[in-house]
Amino acid sequence: MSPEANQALRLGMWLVGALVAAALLFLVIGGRARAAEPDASDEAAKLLLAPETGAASDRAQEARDLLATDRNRKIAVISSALVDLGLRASFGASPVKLLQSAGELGQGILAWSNRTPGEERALLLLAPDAIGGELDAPTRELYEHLAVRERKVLVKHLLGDAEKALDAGELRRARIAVDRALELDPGSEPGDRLLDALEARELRASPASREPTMSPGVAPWETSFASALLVDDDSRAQQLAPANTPSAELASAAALYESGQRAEALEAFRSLAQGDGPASGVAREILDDRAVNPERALDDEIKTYTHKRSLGWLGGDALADRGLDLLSDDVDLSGDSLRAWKASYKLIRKTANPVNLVIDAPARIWRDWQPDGSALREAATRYLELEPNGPRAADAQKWLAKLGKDERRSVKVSPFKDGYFMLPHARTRFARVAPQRLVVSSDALEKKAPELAHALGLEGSEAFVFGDRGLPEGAQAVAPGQALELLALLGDGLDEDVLQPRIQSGADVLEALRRLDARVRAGATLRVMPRAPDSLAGLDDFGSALVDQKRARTWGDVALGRKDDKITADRQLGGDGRFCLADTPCIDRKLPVDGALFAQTDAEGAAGVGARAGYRQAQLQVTMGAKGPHASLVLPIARWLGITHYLPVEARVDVGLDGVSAGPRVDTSAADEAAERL
Amino acid sequence: MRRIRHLALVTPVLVCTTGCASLSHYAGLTHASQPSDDSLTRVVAELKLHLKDDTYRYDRATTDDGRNVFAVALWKLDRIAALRARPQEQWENADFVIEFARGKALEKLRRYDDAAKAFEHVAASGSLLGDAAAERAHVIETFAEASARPADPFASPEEERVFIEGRIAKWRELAEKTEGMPQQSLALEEVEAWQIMRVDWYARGDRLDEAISSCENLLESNRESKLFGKHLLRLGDLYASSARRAELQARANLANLDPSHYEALVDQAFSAYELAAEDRRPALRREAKSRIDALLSYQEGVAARVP
Repeated sequence: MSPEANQALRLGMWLVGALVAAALLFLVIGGRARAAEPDASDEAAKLLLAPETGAASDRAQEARDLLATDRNRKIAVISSALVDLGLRASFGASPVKLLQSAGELGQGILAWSNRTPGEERALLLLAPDAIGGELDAPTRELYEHLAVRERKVLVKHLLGDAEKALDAGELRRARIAVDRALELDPGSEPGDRLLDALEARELRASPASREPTMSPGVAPWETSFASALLVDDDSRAQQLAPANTPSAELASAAALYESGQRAEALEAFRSLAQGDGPASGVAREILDDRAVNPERALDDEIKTYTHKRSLGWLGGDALADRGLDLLSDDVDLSGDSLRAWKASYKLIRKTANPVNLVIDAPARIWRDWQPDGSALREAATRYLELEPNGPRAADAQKWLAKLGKDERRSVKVSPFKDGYFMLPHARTRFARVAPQRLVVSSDALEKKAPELAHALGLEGSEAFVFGDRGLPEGAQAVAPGQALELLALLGDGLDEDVLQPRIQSGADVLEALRRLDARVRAGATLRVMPRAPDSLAGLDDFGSALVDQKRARTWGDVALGRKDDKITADRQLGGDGRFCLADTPCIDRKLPVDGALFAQTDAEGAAGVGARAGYRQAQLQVTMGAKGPHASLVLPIARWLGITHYLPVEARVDVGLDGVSAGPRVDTSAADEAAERL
Repeated sequence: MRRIRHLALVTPVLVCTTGCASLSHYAGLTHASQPSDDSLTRVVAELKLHLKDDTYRYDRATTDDGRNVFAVALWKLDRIAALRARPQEQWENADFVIEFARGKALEKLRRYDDAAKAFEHVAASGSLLGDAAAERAHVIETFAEASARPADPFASPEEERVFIEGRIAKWRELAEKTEGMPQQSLALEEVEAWQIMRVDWYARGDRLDEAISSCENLLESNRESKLFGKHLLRLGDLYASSARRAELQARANLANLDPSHYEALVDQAFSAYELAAEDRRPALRREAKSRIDALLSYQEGVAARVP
């Protein structure tokens, strides 16, 4: 390490130490946090006994104590958050953790002025003496201060409740809450604002009782004008509409709209919406109505679709679905909104993964990834229906053509075949109950049932598929006795650890054997046919391996695969079951020593080549990477002793340029196996 | 170093994605809703904007606070009429206009009987709207007749089925007759409603295979309907019920469980729910996903029980 770096490190450590010391000092001097808070029942008992405690001064003192306790608790919260932040900063915790600590600190500071349960209790203690006029001047001042704070909180809750009720359209509830809030705090500006909004809503919701035009007198021109509108005589309606009357202009625009002159009608609505009168408000509502204003709906959907597409290209489905919170035009600082932002931030952080940026994102752009376009299709269709010659018609047609092509290509979206409804197969993977086909390698048959395999003529293929259904008609039938014997031998091989399951777990493969056995015993015929391994992977398969996290087999039995951020090319000794079928139980011979040559890289940019070998679950691995050669040996001693359940540890020895290290390590596979057993 | 690199990568993405956000909400740019002038003209204008809506393919229009525009218009018209408070024999032209508008709103609310009565009142008046109302009444009376409830309770389930089939045929005929008219979407909604009733009838009678077939027919003939996603959920439920029935019978040793047939039923149930989960309405998507989860949980139990 260079002297400058050493100096910087020391300085950093000194700063962290000073920060922690300052925080602890603050905690000790300012906090005076109590080790144990009084029990709730004690508090209740004190309150019950309060009237009997005698002098008003005692109660005043108790009230002050309660307030001091609350103040100390707040200081303790802030101190604790500050210390937490300092410690996390010194340990170099992730930015999210730092933000979390900073958030807790901020919450503590913001909560400083919040009303506490202690204040509530103090107010209750002081109230009887305050009413009786027995308080001295300072205590009286304290009581009034507490009463004002209580009123403020109550008003705030009432106004919040009123706002919610107003949003939910519960005008009566909102009215009660606002009236009560204004009684408590007559000069409240938020209360006045809410009252204005409430009255406006009440006026709209119950116009007949307030609006002068709802009087029995309907203007003479209205009768003939409304008649013309109702019988769709729109040209006459326009002639009858008196000039300079907002209502008539509104109705005239509606007539235009219905007569098919939608562009002109919408323009008229827009012009009317510029004004301030009631009709202008209605015009604005009409323009906001996506059902009436198809252009609005189309614009909204195009905007949403293009945003989703950009986000999807960048981060896939998850970011496309949830990242829109970041693009909202309205910034909302509520708790829900902040939580949504936090979730979106995490997604974006995931997006910034080099593997995503280098492989996934370009692949999505190359494959022209598109989000669900049903809403945009509906908006475009509706636009063309309402305004076939409108200014956005070409745009709508372009989108329809684009979306139509994608949707029709997807079987999952269209369950119709030649006009008939046919459900495709489910994509949800669910627990199977029917006997499945079973793939068995010739090596496995040779190892465990050589005579039977010879008798059945199971030769000349790398593997064979067994099953009582789902095989072609020409598949060879196996006599029941031989079938049962073969299935039993395969089960024995798995139990004896001379055969191994591929793809699925041992328990799943044994269960598949059991079900097949039961079927044969029930009279079904076991059939068998050779399994020709898949041909070598093409370019598309490589793409799938890298982008879709599948596995592709290439020349020389080398398989290319990706798991999360780790890309690996390996060649397993004795093969890796390339004859196996997806989602199908598969049995292969198990070598005493399994091993593989591999090359791998990950999101950190670390790359290496090496070899690994395993024997009875002990693993030896040698890797040559950017940091030089490295070897590791893992000995599952607890597993060998059969005490993994109690002591899930294994011994690990590492040898590299950094030196030699040895020690115990938690055997994580033990936990996985336990979970699997459950 | 890793964190610095992450931050360096995240920051431009964050800036890029949040760049579009604005503070319009706080800038007070939105127009607050203002008191509205609910004159007869305005109510009629608002109603007229939605009279030609295709309510079969799209949801009925709602006000900004989520209320049905036709129900709101009807309520306002009723208020105007109540304020005028004229007995029917003393009605003036304005009252007939209100009544005619009421008829139109009632028609869109599928209250055909009330709508027909409203049009008949106007038709009999000899007012300006008389001819239009008589013409309208003629169409809506057929709708009212087709939607009349049975005079007596059904004597048997079969009688109910025959009634349902009759209604489907009747409404199909009306849908053909009103082709190109605004009432066609109403007739199509009625056909669909009775087709749903038919599916329900089979399901109630434990004839799940026929219910499934009937539901598939419902989906085939209502491909454009706004309720397509709901029909998919219904189909998924029927497949899931069939699967559950098969498993229950096997548990009670009433019948042997054919695992392949059982799995096919479960597969189709999942498939129907998956298609419903692609609907653009979030509520329906959530409903479909919750059913997928429920069926998955059930299936896990079955897999453990099946010998």
